[in-house]
Amino acid sequence: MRFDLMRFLPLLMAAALISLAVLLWPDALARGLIVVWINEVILIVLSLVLLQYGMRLLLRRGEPRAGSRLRAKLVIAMVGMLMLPSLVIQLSASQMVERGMDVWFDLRVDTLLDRALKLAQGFYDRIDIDMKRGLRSYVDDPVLQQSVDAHAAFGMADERLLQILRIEGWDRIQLFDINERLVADVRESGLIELHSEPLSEAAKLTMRLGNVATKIVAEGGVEKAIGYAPIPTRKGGVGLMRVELKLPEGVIRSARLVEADYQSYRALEHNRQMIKDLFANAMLFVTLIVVILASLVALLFARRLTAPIGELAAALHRVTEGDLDVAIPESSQDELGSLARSFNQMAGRLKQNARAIEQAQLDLTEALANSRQRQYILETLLANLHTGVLLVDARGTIRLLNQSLHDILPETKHWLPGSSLLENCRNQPGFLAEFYEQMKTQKLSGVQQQFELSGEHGITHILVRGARLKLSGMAEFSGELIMVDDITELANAQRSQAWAEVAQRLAHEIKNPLTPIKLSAERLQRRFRKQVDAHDVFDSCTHAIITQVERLQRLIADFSSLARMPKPKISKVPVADIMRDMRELFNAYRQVRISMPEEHVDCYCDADQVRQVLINLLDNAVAASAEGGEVLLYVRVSDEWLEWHVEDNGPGIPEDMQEHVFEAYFSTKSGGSGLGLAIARRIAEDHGGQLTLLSARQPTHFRFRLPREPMLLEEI
Amino acid sequence: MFTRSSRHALMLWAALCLFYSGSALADEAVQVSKDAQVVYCSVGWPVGPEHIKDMLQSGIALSVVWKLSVHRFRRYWLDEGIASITVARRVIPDLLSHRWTLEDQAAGISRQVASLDAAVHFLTHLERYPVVDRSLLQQGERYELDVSLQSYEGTSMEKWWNRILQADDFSASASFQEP
Repeated sequence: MRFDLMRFLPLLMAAALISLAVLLWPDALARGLIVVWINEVILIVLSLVLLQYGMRLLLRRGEPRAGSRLRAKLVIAMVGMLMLPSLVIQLSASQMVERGMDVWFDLRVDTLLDRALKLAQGFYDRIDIDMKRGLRSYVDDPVLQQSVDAHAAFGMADERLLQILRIEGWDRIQLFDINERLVADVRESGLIELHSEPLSEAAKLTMRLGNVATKIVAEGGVEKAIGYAPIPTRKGGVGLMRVELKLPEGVIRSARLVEADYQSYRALEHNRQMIKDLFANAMLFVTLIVVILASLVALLFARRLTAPIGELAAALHRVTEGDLDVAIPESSQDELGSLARSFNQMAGRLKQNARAIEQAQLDLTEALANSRQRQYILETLLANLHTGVLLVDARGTIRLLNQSLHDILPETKHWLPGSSLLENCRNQPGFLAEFYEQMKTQKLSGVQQQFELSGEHGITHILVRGARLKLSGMAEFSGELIMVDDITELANAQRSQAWAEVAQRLAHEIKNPLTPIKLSAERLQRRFRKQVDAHDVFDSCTHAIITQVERLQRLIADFSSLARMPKPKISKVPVADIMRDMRELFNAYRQVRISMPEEHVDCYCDADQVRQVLINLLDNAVAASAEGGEVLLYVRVSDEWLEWHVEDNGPGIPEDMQEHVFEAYFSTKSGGSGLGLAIARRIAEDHGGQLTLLSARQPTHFRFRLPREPMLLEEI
Repeated sequence: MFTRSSRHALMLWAALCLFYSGSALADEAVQVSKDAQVVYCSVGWPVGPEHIKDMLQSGIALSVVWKLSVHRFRRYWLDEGIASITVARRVIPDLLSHRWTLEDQAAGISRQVASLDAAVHFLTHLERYPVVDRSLLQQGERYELDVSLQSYEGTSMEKWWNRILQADDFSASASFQEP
């Protein structure tokens, strides 16, 4: 893990400031300096701020705000650049103060001040000594002693005091008697009026102790020396002499100045360390203020400088997260402004490209949806198409095939897209391979060929069409599209149509001469039978003509019926009625057994045409089972179908003829027209039903069924 | 030999011992006396007089502020303040006349003495100073008398921040019981 100094720097700085605060914690001498405490407060506040910032920085997870590191570096660099000279200045100034104080408190200055003070003190001492000496010399003065006695004469005291005043040079002399009453008060100007004043504590002390005392009193800028001397009386009492001497103002002023200077000097000397502390702390205070101001200015400057970078980084972050709707202000004209402009241009281009990509994606999605839609339509179309479709590419690989192909050609059920067509065709059906080879060989754009396939259900007519595909462009493809149709029903219909046309034409051409032939034969029989000798021959011949003509007429009638089968007239008919009619018609044939339906069932059909179908089927069955056989007619009913079943136990239908029994003009009977089953099937189909040979022999079983719902009939 | 934590514990114990021994020495400097009405306090600042003398002889005025407070001791609650007295004294030297002006700022009394020892004693001692009227005290209760002193040079005592910033130069306490 890399050590990030920038992250720990505020904490280190806080620790340094705390250490400095502890180091500078004021001692007893410096406690009175308020600047010391201001410095302490500043240091502690700064360290707490840095501590809080450092802890926040340390506990923050993830990337710091954009531009914050650069801002921090700028601030640190600027403050550091300022702190270095500040420290140098502080150290230099401290040295200068130290040196200066050494000069100020030089020994010579000290000695000079001592001497000056002693000189001044000498003046005061001299005043004190002189006053005390003078006072002592008058303690035993008899005039004064008498004066302080209660019975003394005041006049003598005044004269004596004036004399002393002149001798000693004092300014005022007061004399108090033993009762502390003022008895005399003289000044240079002469006698003054007596005003009794209470004695001071010092005066009373002098009277009590009997000592001479002096003191200096300052009044209104003037200093006076006051002296007290006890005056003992002969009677044992003590009076008091109080003297005043006004000190010369000039000398006193000078002496007091000397004293003041001395006091100041000594105070300074005594507080020398405190002065140094004061100076150092003042410098530190200034340094701290300068550093704080510089930090604030640096912070402002760095913020202004790094704000565009921060905005740029934030914008880049947003772009990274995919937000391209971002623009940053291009306020400045310097490199940062140019950078902002370039960024905005880049973001704009990115936005355009993103829009283009988004549009392309939308187009692609739409195209894909269309493609899927087309594919779905194609698959649905192919699934519901009755035509079998087989798409083979140029390499002979099956690309596409549909369900109808499997239905038409059950051999193809195991074919899968991606397998080879020729490989699949090795077994069955081979004609597809031939067709495909033919298409490839002949290189024709379109080929069509019809095949007849024999199977369990008879011959199937298959129409195969091929088309060559060649697509160019992005989806380049070449191959063959093979379409397979089962046209068996169409072929049968065409054949029936052809036969119907032939029958109609034959009926038209043959029917007309048959009636005159028959009429002529009957006329010959009636007019010339008596004229001929050989009646037997004549009768035989004419009867043969008439019989054959009638046969031909019936044949023509059948042809007409097949050709111009009328549309069925649907009505609701009880099945029992139809079965009852059949029983009556075939009542003469003992081998025919007709089972009546057990319940009432109605049939929506053309009753005459249904009767014709049943008659045809029963005719054939009776003809087939003439020799002691049995013919059954019964009805089966289901939800969808109503079925008539006709069975006989005759010799049955040969296998090779089973496929053709429903074809027109196909008959196994010698006198049959071959139209009965064809007409019957035609009627069944016209009703929307079916006529099917279920079993060719033992029993020969035909099923004729019609839908039960009339709706189905109406749709036919 | 010692772990870091055990060293710290020893240092803390030693500091506490020093603190309590200092308090014990200081407590001997306070004496409480009573008469029928008043409780008095006699206390001396146990400081060498030479330093004070030297300063006074240098012409530097000195001031002291004595703070005396009486609290009723309460075991489970903060002590109850009964009385608080502040005594401010100042000595102003007169180098020319060798006299010392003694000022009791609380009483407003000023006097001059010629004896330096008297000036020093004036600053460093309170002799039988009345502290509290006994009528304010309850019988059978125990009281604490706290004494503290702050000294100042010159007139700096008058600066308000000195009262907050400056630590006590001396503090002591004594307890007394009301009968």
